[in-house]
Amino acid sequence: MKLRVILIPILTLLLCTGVLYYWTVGFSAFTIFSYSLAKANPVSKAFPALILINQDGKNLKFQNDYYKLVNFVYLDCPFVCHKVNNQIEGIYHLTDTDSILKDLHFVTISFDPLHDNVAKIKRYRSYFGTDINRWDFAIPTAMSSQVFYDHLQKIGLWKYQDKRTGVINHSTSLYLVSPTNKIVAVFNPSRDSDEIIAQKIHQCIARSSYLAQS
Amino acid sequence: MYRKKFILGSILVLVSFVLIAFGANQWLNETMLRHQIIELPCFIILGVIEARLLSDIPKIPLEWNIAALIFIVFSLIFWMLPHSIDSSVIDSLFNRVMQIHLFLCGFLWQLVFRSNYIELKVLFLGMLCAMLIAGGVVMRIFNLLLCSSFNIFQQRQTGTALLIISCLVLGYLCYLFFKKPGRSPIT
Repeated sequence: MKLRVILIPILTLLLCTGVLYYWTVGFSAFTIFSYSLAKANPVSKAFPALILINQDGKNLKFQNDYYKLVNFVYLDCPFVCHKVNNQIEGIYHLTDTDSILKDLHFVTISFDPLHDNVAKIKRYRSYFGTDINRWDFAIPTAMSSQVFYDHLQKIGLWKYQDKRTGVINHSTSLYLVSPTNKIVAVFNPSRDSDEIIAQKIHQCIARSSYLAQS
Repeated sequence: MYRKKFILGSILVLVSFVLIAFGANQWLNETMLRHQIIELPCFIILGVIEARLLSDIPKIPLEWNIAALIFIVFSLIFWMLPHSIDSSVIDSLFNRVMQIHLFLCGFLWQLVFRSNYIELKVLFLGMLCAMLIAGGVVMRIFNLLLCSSFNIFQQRQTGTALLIISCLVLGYLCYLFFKKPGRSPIT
């Protein structure tokens, strides 16, 4: 009888904790943004084969000799996309003087191809100055919106459009992609400062280069 | 007489449930404040009312009482998680699950409160208020969007409302508990 009195609450506690553990991916993901990322677990997966055109209307090849820092935005965003791009601008200028990071390329992809176009991204890019040769702005092309969003989902990028306002709420993750098109790391610009992200990218690339050489 | 009251009351509860769950659902899901401050408590209150109509249910044994309290606390934590809030707004099936689950929580709440020790009741309500205050503070001060279905302004608004409501409830609990110190049920 006494055992029963203790056992029933403990079993209930274990069951409830188990449900919460599963729902938050081991008490690590409490928002739908972090949950999508944790479930997708994109690190060491191939970056999706997106067909992109850049601000000059040229095809943007993803598999090349450089590491790339990729982020996703939409230009009609009322707030967070511009904040993230300002942060990327800061990271960009931190990499100018870094021996390892000076070849790092930056790609900002619009996930709103219905409203964003080449002219719009070209104008938007100009707001960040003229000395940003390693930073491309791009829009997806030759693929349906659904296929594009499926690709984004596979790398854990969450987006939800409010039907009344048209505002797209989305993840702000930054993806570090290797020259072989593998996702090496994912950074959270809402949590980490420009300096910390630049430092983490430096460490990732230095480690990968060391492993490749040995 | 009791049977008649029970049937009539249950019909009213059912009608209210359907009206809130189907009629007002879209309106309630439009802002975070309505979702968190109106919709969630509404289903809990309906569950409490339904359980109050069943006055002839025998007292629940202590172990099941504590198990029910644990279930209620975890359920409230679950439905306050930003991920759960988003899922319940985006996915209609998940929204229905939430409504039924909260109704069940309210039902159990009443059964547990009817037959529990005062210490447990105070502990439970105090903990609930602390949880709501913590949730309110997070929503109020975070400069990050926690739920993709809403915006940061609504998030702050909900945080403020949660803080005010939980502080008022906590104050009321303290008043109830200490108004007659010599005859307090705990002492």
